[in-house]
Amino acid sequence: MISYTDIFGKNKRVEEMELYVGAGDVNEQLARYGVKFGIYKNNEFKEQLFPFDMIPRVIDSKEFGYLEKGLKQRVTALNLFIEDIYGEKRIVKDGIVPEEFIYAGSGYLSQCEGIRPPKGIYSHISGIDLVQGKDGEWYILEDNLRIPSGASYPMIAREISRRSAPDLFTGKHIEDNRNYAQLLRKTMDHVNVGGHTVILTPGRYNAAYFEHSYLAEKTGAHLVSGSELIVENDHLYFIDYSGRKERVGAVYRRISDEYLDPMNFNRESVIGIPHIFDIYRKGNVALINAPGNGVADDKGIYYFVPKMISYYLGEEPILSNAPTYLPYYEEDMKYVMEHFDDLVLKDVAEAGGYGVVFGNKMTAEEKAKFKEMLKAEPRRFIAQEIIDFLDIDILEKGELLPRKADLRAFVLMAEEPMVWKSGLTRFSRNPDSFIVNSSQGGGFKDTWVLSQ
Amino acid sequence: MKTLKFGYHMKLAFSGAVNNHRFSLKCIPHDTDMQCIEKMAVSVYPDHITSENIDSYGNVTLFGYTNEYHNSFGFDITGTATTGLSDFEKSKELHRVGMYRYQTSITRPGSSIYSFYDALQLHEIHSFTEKALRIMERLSDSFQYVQGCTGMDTTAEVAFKEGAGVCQDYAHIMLSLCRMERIPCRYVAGMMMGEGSSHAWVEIWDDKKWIGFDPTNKKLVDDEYIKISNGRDFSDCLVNQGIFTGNVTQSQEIKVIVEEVFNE
Repeated sequence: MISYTDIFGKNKRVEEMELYVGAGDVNEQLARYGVKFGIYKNNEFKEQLFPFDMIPRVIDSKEFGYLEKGLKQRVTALNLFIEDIYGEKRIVKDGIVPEEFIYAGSGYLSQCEGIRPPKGIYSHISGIDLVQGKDGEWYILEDNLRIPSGASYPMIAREISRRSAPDLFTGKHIEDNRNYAQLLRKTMDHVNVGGHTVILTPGRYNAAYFEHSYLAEKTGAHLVSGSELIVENDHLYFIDYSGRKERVGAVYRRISDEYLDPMNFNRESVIGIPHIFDIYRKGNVALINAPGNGVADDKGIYYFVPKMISYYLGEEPILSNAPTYLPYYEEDMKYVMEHFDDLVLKDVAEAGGYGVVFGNKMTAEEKAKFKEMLKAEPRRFIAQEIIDFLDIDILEKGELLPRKADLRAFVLMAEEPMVWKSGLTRFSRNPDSFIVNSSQGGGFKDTWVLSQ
Repeated sequence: MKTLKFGYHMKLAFSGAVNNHRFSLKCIPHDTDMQCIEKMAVSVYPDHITSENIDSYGNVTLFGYTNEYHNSFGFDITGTATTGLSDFEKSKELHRVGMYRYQTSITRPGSSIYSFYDALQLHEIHSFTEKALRIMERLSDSFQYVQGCTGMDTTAEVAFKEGAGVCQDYAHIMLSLCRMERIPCRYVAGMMMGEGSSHAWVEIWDDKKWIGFDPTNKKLVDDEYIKISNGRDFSDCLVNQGIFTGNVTQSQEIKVIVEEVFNE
């Protein structure tokens, strides 16, 4: 285990630390570049700065090599799982995954039955969340396959830091993370069926609009809204400023499945493209990521991912899940009831840090109520051991403070799975909180992967 | 076995001109183990280019776009069907039809369907077909056929509470009850011998077979029926779905005629 103190001096007086200098400058630059995310609160749209902490998370090359291997294995198995579910369903037949975890979950879309996307890739960009325990062990916290965001933040933070504080990087042997755009381009080109590549955004009121525009700029793809795309004669076209139509072969769509096509999903959607799904079914456009792949990142399905790895690849999982119990199984229900205070309970239908409760933080009354609910709807929850996170330091008002943090690693699937040698490290600004989600006020760090 | 001549006419009249019209139609019957379709003629108007596709439930889908201004939209389909070729459709194994075992937002039961279900005492019976027969019989006896008291989007629970509805409601309630018993079952849209509107019924899965039940008429589906499409509920089988530009009101006219032809 390596930390920033191994490559930077750690002084009692923070002001004297190499890392302190320039921190304010970088945050100011990030604000100027519009590095923000939007949230809706009480029906009002607000943009918030995403606070950046100058102290990088440092991962040495050997450790990252191990993560890389494990992540590739996991994403490969997840892809095979999605292919199987919308096809033969062998894993259900063989009794590895109970049917209700697929059909009663929110991620399965019957509209995708029988569709094989270009090159058989379902999860082109996967954001896998990991945490490191105090013992140095890494655990997978969740898989995000729908449209995971976050890569743009460490990309631009690195770029600005290099400009504002170039000395910090001298002689440090860090893997360059500014190649994310090339990896993404390669991923999109790999499945493109002929024509332009576009990034489809719901617009500037979306939480991740900054990211959409930044990735478009860096990859050279057009940034488009639904009204600029049209389906005609079984193909998708981009209408340019002069009204000319040009064929589109790949859409990195940053809008969710349900809003993608009002003729096939939510009929009320006004940001989607009518009939895009019909021509996708015919193989005439690539959709990145493939619709329906949420069937594999459901919190209930998470429990089964290590089993999938053994089932499809015949290998032992390299990376572990956080120890998880499914109250659906009687044995696990018994364990959860007996060890309620040691567990964190998650509602499988919620995301973004919502629907997460800690057994030991409930009052006796709340506990009794929750246990009743658990017995009534065992499939709705998973329970996990509380991992003793490794705290990492952040700089705040001239002080070094230990905080909980996770790591979102990005795995891109082209011919082969590729792991980006960086990642988004999110931390909780509240010392008592385990929840690092940006929508709940967390900040972020750059992730430095050492090249030697 | 019967030879049936069918005609399906649908016309949507707008109170003013509309354009930028996108549509998806699931109105084309196709060959199954039970029926064979011949001499089919399909016309969609205004006359525009349409594409054809098969959806995830096996239904023929026509989809297209027109940007011309028009005051009406519709289709006419005629053809001949040989029906009763078999008593059932062959199906995939149980693990491949799982999606038909789960409730949708339309079929999800509420308190009134739950109490009806309890009274059915289905645990006494083991075979899916026998269970479905009891469901069909009891439902048919306790639900009235009345037009106009339910709408397109009425759920099974709301319709059942109302106590009356049309074939679509009978089908949704039966699906809801079968799914409570974990029987894979699907909604079917089609035509029935006679003159009038389109029809809807249910197919249940039993031992790699899809068997048709018509709860509206309390009978098993036979050679008087022509199937058009199937899905988890009516929303997978919408005959016509569209989006257009225009501030108008619309009225729909549907005419279906199915009559037997006797060969000399």
